[in-house]
Amino acid sequence: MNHRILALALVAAACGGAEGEPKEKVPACEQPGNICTWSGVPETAMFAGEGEHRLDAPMYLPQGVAFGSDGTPYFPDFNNHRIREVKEDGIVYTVSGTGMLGDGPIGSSGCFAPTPCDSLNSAWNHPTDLVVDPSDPNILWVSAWHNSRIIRLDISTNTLEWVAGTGGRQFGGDGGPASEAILDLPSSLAFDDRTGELYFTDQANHIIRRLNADGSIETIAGQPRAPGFSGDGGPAIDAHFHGHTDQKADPGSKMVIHDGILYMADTVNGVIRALDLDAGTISTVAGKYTSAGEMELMDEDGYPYMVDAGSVPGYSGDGGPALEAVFNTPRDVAISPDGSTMYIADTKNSCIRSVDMASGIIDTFAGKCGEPGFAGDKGPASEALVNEPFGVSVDPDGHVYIADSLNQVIRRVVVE
Amino acid sequence: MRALTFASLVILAACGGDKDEDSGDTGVTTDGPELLSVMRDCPETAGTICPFAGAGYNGFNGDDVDRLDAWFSFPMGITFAEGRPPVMADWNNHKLREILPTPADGFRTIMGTDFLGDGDPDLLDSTPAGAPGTSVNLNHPTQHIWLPDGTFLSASWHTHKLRTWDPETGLVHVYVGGAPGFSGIEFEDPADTAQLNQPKEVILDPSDDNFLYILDMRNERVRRLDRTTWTLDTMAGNGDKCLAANGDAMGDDGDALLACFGFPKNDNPEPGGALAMTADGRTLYIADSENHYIRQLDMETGVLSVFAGAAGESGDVDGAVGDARFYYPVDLELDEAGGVMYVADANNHKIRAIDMATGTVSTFAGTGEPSCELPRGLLVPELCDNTHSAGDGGPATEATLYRPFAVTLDLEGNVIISDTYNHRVRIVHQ
Repeated sequence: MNHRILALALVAAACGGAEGEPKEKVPACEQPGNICTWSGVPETAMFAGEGEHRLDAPMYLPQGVAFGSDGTPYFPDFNNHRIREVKEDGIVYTVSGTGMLGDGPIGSSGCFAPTPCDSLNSAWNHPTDLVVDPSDPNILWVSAWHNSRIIRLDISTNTLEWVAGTGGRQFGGDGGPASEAILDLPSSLAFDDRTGELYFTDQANHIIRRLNADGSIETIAGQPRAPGFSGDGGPAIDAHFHGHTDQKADPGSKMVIHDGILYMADTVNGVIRALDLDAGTISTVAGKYTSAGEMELMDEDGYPYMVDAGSVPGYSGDGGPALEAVFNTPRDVAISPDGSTMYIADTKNSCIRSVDMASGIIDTFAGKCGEPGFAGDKGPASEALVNEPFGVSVDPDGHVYIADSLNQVIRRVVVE
Repeated sequence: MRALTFASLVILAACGGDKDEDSGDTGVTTDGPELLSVMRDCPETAGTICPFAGAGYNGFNGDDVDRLDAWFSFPMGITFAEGRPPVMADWNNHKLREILPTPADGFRTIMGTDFLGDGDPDLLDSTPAGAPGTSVNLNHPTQHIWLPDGTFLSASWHTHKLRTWDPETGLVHVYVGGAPGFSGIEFEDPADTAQLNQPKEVILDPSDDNFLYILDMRNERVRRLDRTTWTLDTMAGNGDKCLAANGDAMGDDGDALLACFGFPKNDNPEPGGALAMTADGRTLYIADSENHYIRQLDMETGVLSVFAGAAGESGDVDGAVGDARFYYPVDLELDEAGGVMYVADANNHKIRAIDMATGTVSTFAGTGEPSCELPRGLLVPELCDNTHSAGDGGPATEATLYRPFAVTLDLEGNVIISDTYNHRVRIVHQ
C-alpha cells in the first residue's frame, strides 16, 4: 500500500538522520526486558495484510513462531488455516493454505509421496506448530492439528507431502510406515539437531512419537490413550502424560528439544516434563502436580467413563523452586539458546513464567499472572498484560516470542 | 487522512519514541490495514443486489459494530423468523450471531466464544440443565432452525451434534449427538445415544413438525428424528459415498435406503449437502453436492429420483431441469408457496432459481465469475478489492459472488445470500 511508502519517507525525515547514522537512543522495542507487538494487530482477529508489513498483517489465534537457520520466521496462522512467512523487511506472505479448512487441495485423493500436492492450493485445518528442517531451509515440517497429520512443506517447489497420519483420530501404526499410522491431534514437533530425528507430541494420545529415518513411526514416551501422571525417574515409555482430548480439545502438550532433552508442557498435569533422549528417562522439571481426582469423559460410543482429572490449577511459586510452582494449563515451553532459561506459556494464567536452569528458581517473565488483558507494549514485559498465550519460542539470538493468542498477536521481548 | 494517521504512528515506532509519545495505554503502533467500505445507499428496487451485513473482511471485530462494518469468517446459514432477529452461522468464527434490527446496533452472539471447541468448560451443556450460550464453544456451525416451541436448533457441524438454545434463558444444551459415528441400527435408534457425523443441515417437516430431517453428512445419509418417540431413523442413503463421475451407481429411481450420495466425506471436508421440503411434506429435495445434482425423495413411496441436473455432470447450464447443470449445489431454499427453489451453486459462484411449475432453471444472481482475479492462485482469495463492491447496486445477475454456501428468504420474500468467500451477506429485493 502507498501509505507504507509514505510512512517510510516520513520516518526518514522525522527521525532526522541519514541512513546508518547512529540514533540517539535505543528504540523502546529493542531495549532488553521490554515487550512489543511484533506481528499482527492487537485484538484484531482477521486475515489480511498479505504482502504488507507484519504489523499490518492481522492473524487469527496465533500459536507460535519458528525460525529457519537464516533467521526467517514462519508461523502457523491457526484459525486462518494458513502457514505464513515473514520475509525480509518484515513483509508477510502466506506460503500455504487457501483459508478454507480442508485436507489438501479440494477433491484431492491425497498428498502422499511420491505424488505431493500443490501447497498453494492446499487447505489446512488448524495447524498449531512448525519447525524448519535443520538440513534444508526450504523444508517446513508442520503439525496439522485438526488434520491429524504431520505435513512436509517445500517452499522452494510449493509442494507439500503428507508424512505421518492417515487423517483418522485414534492411536495406531507404531513400527509401520508413518503414512499408515494414526495420530490424534499432533500439536507440536522438534528436531533433535544431533541426530536429525523428528519428534512430535501426539496430544490426544498422550504420547511423544518419533519419525525414524527409515520412514517408520514409533512411540518413545507415554502410554497411548491412557491419560495420567506417573513415571518420573523411570523409563519414559512407561510414563503417563495428559493432553486435552476429543472435539473439545484446545491445542497443548507442545514441546521443544534442547541439547538432547525434550521438554514438554504436560498440559492437563500442569507441569513441564523432561525426556532425556539418550537415557530414555522422564522427569518433571517445573510445576507441582496435585491430583484433581477424576473427571468424566465420553467414550467413542457416547458413554461416560472416568479418567484422571489432572492437576489442580492455580498460580503460585514465583521466587521459589520451580518444582513447587503451580501453573494453570501450561501449553508450551521454550529453552534459551544457551540453555540458561526455560520459558513456560502458563496459558490460563495469561502469563509467561521463566525458570533459571542453574538455580531452578521460577519467576514471572511476561504478563501479570491471573490478569488477562492487552497492555504494556514498549514497557517492561513484567508490567504488561497478555491474554492466554498458547505458545512461546526463542529466536537464534535468544529473544522471546509470545503467541499472545487471545490478543491475536505475537509479541517479542528482547533479551540481553 | 487515514494513511496519514497511520504514517505518524509508524514514525513513533521507528524513532523509538518514549512511552510518553505512545498512542494510548497500549503503545500500539498501528491501526492495521486500510479498510474499504461496502455500498451504503443501495437502492432497494426489485432485482437489485445490495449489502445486507458484513464489510467483506475475513475476521471478527466484535458484535458491537455497525452491521455493514462487521467482519465475518465464511458466513453460512441464516434463518429468519417472526418476532426474532435473524441468526447467522458465522462459520469460521465459530459463533451464532443475531443480526440486530437496527444496523448500528450490530450483533449479539447467542452461542460461541472467542475460541473453538465442543461445549462449555464444565460440560454442563451435555446435560439438559445446559450452559450459557456464550460459554459454549462451537466448531464451525453451518446452519440452524427455529423449533415450534420457540427454541433454536443449531447444526453444530464439526462437533457432530445438534444444540438447542432457549432465548428465554440463554441456555444451550446438546439435543442429539455425541462422539462422531453412526450408531449401527437403522431404525428406532434412540436419540439419547444416537451418533451423527458432521450434521450439516436440519429442517422441520412443514406438514408435521414432529419430524426433523438431518443431513448427516459424513454418514452419507438423510436421517429423521421423531420428536415424540425420540428416535432416529434413516430416510435415504445406504451409508456409502458414491461419485457418479467415477462410475458409481447412484440408485436413482429405486428405494432411497439403497441409494448412495456424494456428500463430502474425506477427513477434513468442507460442508456439503442440503435439504428442502414441500409444504405438504410429500417431497424431500436433497442437494447431492459432489454429484452436482438435486434429487427428490417421494415420502410416500420412499423412491429417490433425479430432480434437477445430472449425476456426476458439473456445469453451468440454465434450462429445463433435466438439461440444467450445477457445480457443487450446497444449499436449497424453497419458498413457502412452493413456486421457486433457490440453489446456492457454490462452484459456479451463482444463486440459481428453479421455477417449480415449469421446471425451468435460471440464474438468479452472479455472473459465474468469482469476485476477483485471484492474485496468487487460490492462495489468498480474500484479498480482493472487488469483494467490497462486487456489483452492489446493480442487477443481481450482473453482480459477482464468491462461493455462496447458503441462500434463504427473509420474511418479506427477499433473497438473502451468504456470499461466503466474500465474507459478507447480500440481499436481492423482490
